[in-house]
Amino acid sequence: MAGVTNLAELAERGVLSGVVARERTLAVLPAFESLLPGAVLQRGSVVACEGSAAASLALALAAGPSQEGAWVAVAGFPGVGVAAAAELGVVPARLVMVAEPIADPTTRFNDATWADLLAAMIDGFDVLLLGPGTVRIRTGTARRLVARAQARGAVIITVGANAAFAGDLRFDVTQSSWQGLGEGCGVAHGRRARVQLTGRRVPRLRNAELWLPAADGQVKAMVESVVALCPTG
Amino acid sequence: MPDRVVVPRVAVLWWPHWPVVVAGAAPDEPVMVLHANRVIAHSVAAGADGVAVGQRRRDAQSRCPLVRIEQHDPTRDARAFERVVQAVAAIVPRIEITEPGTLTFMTRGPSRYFGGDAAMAATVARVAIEAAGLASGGTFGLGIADGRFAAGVAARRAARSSDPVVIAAGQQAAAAFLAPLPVRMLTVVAGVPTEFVQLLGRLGVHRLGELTALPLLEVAARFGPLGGFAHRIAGGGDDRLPGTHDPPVGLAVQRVFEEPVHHSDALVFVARQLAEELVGQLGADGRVCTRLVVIAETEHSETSERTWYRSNGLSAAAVVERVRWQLEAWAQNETLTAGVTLLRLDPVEVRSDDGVQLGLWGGRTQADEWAVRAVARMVAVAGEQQVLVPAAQGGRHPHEAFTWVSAVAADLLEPDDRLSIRDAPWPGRLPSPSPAIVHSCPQAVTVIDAVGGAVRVTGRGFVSAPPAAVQSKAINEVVQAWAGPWPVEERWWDLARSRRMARFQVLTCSGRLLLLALERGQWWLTAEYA
Repeated sequence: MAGVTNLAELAERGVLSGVVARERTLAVLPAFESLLPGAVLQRGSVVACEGSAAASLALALAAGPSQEGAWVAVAGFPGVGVAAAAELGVVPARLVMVAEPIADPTTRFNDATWADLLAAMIDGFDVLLLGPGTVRIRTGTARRLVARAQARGAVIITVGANAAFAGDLRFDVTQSSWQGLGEGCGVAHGRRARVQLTGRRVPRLRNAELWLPAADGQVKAMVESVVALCPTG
Repeated sequence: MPDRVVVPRVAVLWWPHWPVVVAGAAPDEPVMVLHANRVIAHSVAAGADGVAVGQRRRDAQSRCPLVRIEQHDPTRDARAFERVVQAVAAIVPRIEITEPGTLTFMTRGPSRYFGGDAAMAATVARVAIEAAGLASGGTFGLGIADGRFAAGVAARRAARSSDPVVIAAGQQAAAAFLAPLPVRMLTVVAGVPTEFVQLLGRLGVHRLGELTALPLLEVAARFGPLGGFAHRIAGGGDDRLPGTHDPPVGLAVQRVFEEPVHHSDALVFVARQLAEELVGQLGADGRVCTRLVVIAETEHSETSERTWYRSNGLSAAAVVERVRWQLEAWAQNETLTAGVTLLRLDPVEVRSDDGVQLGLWGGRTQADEWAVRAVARMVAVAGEQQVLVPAAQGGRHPHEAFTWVSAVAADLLEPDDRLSIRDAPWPGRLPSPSPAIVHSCPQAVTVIDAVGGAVRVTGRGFVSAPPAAVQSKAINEVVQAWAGPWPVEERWWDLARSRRMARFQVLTCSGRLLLLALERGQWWLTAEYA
C-alpha cells in the first residue's frame, strides 16, 4: 500500500491532498456552497451567526451535516422551533437539546456543569448549536472547549453574538425583507436576505442573496427577481 | 483451507446478565437494565414474568409492572468485572475480554498445570465466584470446548446447570454436542444476523445438525460467505471469520506522555485519537481489528494490559469505550502511585472488512454510537429532564407540532415511533415557513393602534383598528405590515377547555416578524420568525 503511506506522509508534512482534506470537512446545503470557501464547513471551526436571521442561519448550516448522518446538539436555546428546523433540513431524529432549568435561578447550570456538559456534547456530536443561554460561560472554559472541538472535529455554531466563543467564520444578515404581508392581508411566504460572510479564513468578505427561508421553509439561492405583490387596502 | 487449521481449545466464562449482577439484585427481585430504552439484561425473576432481552421498555414494563429499572452503566460493569478478570488472570495466563460479563482463555497450558480440564474448570469457577463476591450465586457458566463458538454454547448450557460443561477434544465431539441444539444459537453466541437464522427456520433447518448435514458448497452458494461461516462453526470448525489473519508488523499506535497524566478523561481523549488513527489505517486497507491489546503504563512501571475481542470488529467508538473501562477499573482496583506515561493499542488479529455485518443490534453508524454514549454522559451531568429529544405531536400552533421528551425515555436509535405523525392534516395550521423561535411560555404584550388604543378583534373576526405598535417590557416595535386575524376555535364542545383566539403575523419596522395571538382580550407573543 505504497500510495496510502505517501498520503499519510504528506499529511504529516502539512500539505493536505484533496482526499485527506475532504475527511476533515462537513457538507453544507447547496445554497451555502457559493459562500463558504471550498463549499464545505471545516471540522473544528467555530461559526457565529448574527443579525436578525441568526436562528434560521444557524439551523440551515446545521442542516447540511444533519442530512449526511451527523447528530446535532442544541444548548442554551430553549425556544428552538423544531418545525422550522425540520423544514430547513435538520433531521429531527438526530437532534438532541439540553434545556437549562431556568424557572428557578438556583438550579441554573454553573460554569463547571456547562464545561462537563459541553465536553460530553463535543465528544458525541458533530454539530453543536449554542444559543443565547451560553453567553454566561467564562472565556477560559470556552477556549478549552473550542480546543477540544478542534481536536475532535466538531463544529460549533453560535446563535447570536457570543463573546466567549470567538468564531473563525461570521455570518451576518445585512439586509432582509419578508415578502407577502400587506396591510391586514396576505401571509409571510419568504424572506429575502443578503447574507455576508467574514472571518479569519475568508480573505475578502463574501455576499450572497438567499431566500432564508423560501415559502416551503428551505434555504435557497435567489434566482428569480420577480416578487409577488399583495394588494394594499 | 481453513478447515484444516487446528482449532484451539478455549474456555468461556459467561455471566448471562452481568449488568444485573452488578446492580445488586436480591434473588427473587425483578430487575432489568436498559440501554437506549431497550432491555439488555434482566434478573431471573423478571425473566420468569416474560421480560426478554431486546424488548422495549414499555413492553417489558407491561409484562412485569413491578420491575426495577436500572440504566446501563458499562463503566460500572467493567469496574466490577475487573476484579473477576484479575482473579482469573492470576491462575490463567492469557485472557481475552469481549465485554463485561464474558471472558475467554486458552486452556492448553492451564489444563496441563491443573491436571485436566475438569480440575481447571472447578478451580477457575471457584476463583471467579469468590472474586465476584456474589452471595446470591449469580448464575454463570463455564464452558470448555474446541473453538469459541462451541465453548460459548457450552457456557450457556453450563449457566443453566451451574456446573462447568466440558466437551471432549476433537471436532467430532464438538459437532456431536452442537448437533441437537437450535440454530438460534448462531445468533445468540456468534452474532449471526437474525434474518439469516429466521430464513433457515423457514427453510426447515431448525437444528445445527441439520445445517451441517447440508453440503457446504451448496450452503455457501446459496447464502454466501455468511452461510459458509455458519456451516463451519455449526460443525465445530474454526470460528475465525473468513479473512482473519495476523496483522502486518508496525500497526500498533502509541502515545508517550512527557508529563505523567493523572486524569482518565485526558487519557480517554488521547485514546480516541489513537483509536481513530488505528481504525483509519486499518480501514484504508479494508480491514478491521478483531483482537486488540491495550497497554497503559505509569511512570513507576505499573502496567495494565488487557486483550479485548469482538468478533465483528472493533470500531473506534468500541475501542475508546474499552480503553475507558480498562483505565477506570485499573485506577479503581489498584492504588496507582504515579501518572500514566504510555498508552498503546496493538492489534493482534485483524480480518478483512468484507461488509458482512455481524452484530446483535443491527447495522448502526459510528455517529449513532457516539451520540448515544454522549447522551448518557449528558444525562449524568445535567439530569434526565434536561436532555431532550423532539417528538412529533401534531397541532395547529407552532409550539404544538413538536414537543420535547426526555432522551432517557425515548428510543434514540429507532425514532419512528415518536416522529411518525408529522404528516397528519391540521386545519387552521399556519402555513410554512415555520418560526425559528417558539415560546413555549408565550410572553404577554400590548398591541396599540395609531391613536394609542388597544387593538381588539370582534366576535365576527374583524379587527378594531390596524395595529401600529407592539410593546412590552422587552419589546418596543413599530408595525410595518401585518396580516390577520386568523381565528381559531378549539374544543367548542368542551366548556372548560374551549379556546378562541385570533393569530396575527406582524412585521416590524426593524425587520422582525412576530407571531401574535389574541385570546380573551390579552395579546401574547407566541413565536418569532428569526
